[in-house]
Amino acid sequence: MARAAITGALVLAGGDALRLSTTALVGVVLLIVALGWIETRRRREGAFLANLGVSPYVLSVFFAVPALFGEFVLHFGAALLT
Amino acid sequence: MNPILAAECVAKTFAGRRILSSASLRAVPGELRVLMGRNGIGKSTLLKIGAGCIAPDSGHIRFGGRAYLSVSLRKLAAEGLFYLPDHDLLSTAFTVRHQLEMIRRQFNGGDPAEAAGLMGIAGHLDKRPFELSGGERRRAELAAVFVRRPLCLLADEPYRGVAPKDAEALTKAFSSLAADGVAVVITGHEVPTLLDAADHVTWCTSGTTYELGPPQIAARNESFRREYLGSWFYSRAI
Repeated sequence: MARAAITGALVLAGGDALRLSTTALVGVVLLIVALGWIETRRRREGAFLANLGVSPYVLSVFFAVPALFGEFVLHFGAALLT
Repeated sequence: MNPILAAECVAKTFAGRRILSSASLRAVPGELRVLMGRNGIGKSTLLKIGAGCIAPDSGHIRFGGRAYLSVSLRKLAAEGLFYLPDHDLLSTAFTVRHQLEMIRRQFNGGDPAEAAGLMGIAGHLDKRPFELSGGERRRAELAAVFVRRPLCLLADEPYRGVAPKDAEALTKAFSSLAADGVAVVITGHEVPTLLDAADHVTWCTSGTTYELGPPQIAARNESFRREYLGSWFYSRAI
């Protein structure tokens, strides 16, 4: 949803919504990680995750990897189409 | 027997208010200990410090023979601690079965179906926690404990808002864990339930803790009766 909102904003601004610059890519991934953390706090899952022995770094990687993968798919998908 | 978990001489101040000045928490294998005290006196804070959820201003924590000035729940959990917070433990995003499976895979734990059966929630395994009643959620959390098979369990007010039948099931579970050698510490205000179940009572008051001993002896402690149990219990006990 966050990515869709960013895409909408970039389309309205007349930018390339599919192929982000490196800075924008890092920003999107950090935003996704931050939203993941907020959601974890909202659902009060911290104690459950800590009881599982999951470290905050591992959790951040779990949030970041799908976002990064999605961005690469979009980037190369757009490159193939054009 | 030596405690597996000991938070010794801990102090904690929140926003300029001294909650604990020199309090201690000990969890002994095979014992069910209850930590009692008035609201806001620092029981939950002490339990959270023992669990590694918050760092003490001073004092130290020992777990399994290792001493720490500051430690995380994640680290203690990997060494055998399980912490039940004073709010729901299980995530609303997944079914109870899924979460018990996560614990089983992570720690090579017990069978989730067997643990659920033990806690009387076998029929609720494929539900998400928000579909369960408060008592059933507590039972599901205890099922998670049975799957984990911890060395030490800290439970913060596990009896909050549960029906007597559920409370009875929780007490049986805590006693069974202690009988299996787990070091159990629970907090709460359900005096008759807690005193019936406990092997040892710790009283938290005025920023410190007093080891009152077995419930029969604790209930005869004049200060404990006057300042915590109150006149109702006082008249019953006499």
